[in-house]
Amino acid sequence: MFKLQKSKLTFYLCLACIILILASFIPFLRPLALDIFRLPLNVATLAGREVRAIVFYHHNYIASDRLSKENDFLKNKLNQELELYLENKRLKALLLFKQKTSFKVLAAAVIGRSPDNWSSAVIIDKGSRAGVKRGAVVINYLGLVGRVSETGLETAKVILINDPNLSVSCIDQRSRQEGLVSGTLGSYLVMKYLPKDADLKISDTVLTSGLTAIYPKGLIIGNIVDTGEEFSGLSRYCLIKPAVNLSSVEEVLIIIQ
Amino acid sequence: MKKRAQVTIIIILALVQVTILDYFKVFNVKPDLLLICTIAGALFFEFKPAILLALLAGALKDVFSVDTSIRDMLLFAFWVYLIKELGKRVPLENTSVRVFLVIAALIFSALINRGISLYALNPIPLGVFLRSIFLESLYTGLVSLMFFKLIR
Repeated sequence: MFKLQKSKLTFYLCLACIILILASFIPFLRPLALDIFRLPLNVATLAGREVRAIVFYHHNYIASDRLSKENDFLKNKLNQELELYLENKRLKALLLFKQKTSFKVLAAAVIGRSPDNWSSAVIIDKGSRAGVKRGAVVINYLGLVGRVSETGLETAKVILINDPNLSVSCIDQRSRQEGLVSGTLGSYLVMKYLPKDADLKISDTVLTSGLTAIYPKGLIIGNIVDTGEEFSGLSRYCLIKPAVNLSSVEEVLIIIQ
Repeated sequence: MKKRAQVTIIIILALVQVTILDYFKVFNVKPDLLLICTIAGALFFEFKPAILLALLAGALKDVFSVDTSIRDMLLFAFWVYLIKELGKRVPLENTSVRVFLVIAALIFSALINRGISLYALNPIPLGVFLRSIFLESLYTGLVSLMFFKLIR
């Protein structure tokens, strides 16, 4: 660093003192005086803060601990409020859909999922007592969710559309190409048994065709994300991203009429 | 351990597997806590209580599953019988051997499931099957390793 000679230091200090004295009498010199002392003031404030932190360490520690707990409590409360807001948003959308749809539907909440990794099903909190019947179609305001496979008095099991044991006859909304959609246990569905010249494009919407008697016509299944040829080369398939996020569905509607 | 405690633990694990464990899925796969419990029962308890626990665990798994058969109940009882017979010939004290038993039971169960799905003409795609079986056995193996280390 630079070495400040004693004589130079003395000179600068004297100059500063003169300016200070003059600044008391001459107003326009005050800003200049303050500018001169800006850096030392900053350093002194920092040093003072450190001294205060050391001297009042215990007091600061207690305050910090209290504030940290308060912060955690407020974060938790905020998270609860956010959950309520999101639930409110979902239920509003579900209610709006329920009012618009021509089906008679019953709302239910998802209370459990299948315990194994080889099937895709959920357990809902409505059963035969509420009017749920075996084979009833289950939907959501976004699209098709699945079908009721078993009913108890107060609960029912719904097999989701990404279960390999469930197949739905479908139709491409744009080209009206028919096919069969079944699950793969993963995030996507597969539409199989398509002819080689099938008119299918990525982002086409796939709906239920109504050929399977159980599923009403026109329910949204998903959108095409990929197409390809079967291993045999005789037919084509396409991958469909379901309209409903099946891994996180929390409320569903059961079509009872 | 008292019978009531054993039964309570099995029921709690079944509820956890059906609800909470869904948040701990890795690539759509979660560990099979009921299978781990069954294998542990076969290793630590006498034959009769182990079989009863296996039947209870299997029944709980079947009740919550989509499949209406008693497949898991029979399989779990079969694994207990097999482990008891194996225990007479081979020492099963080592943690690695125990983890291997869990993984082997899981893989055989998955192969049986695949066979049934092929017979029902609703096969799970081979790629999905291999990925699921690999991840499930790895995940369940790790959880069972922690479990056996904990109860040691």
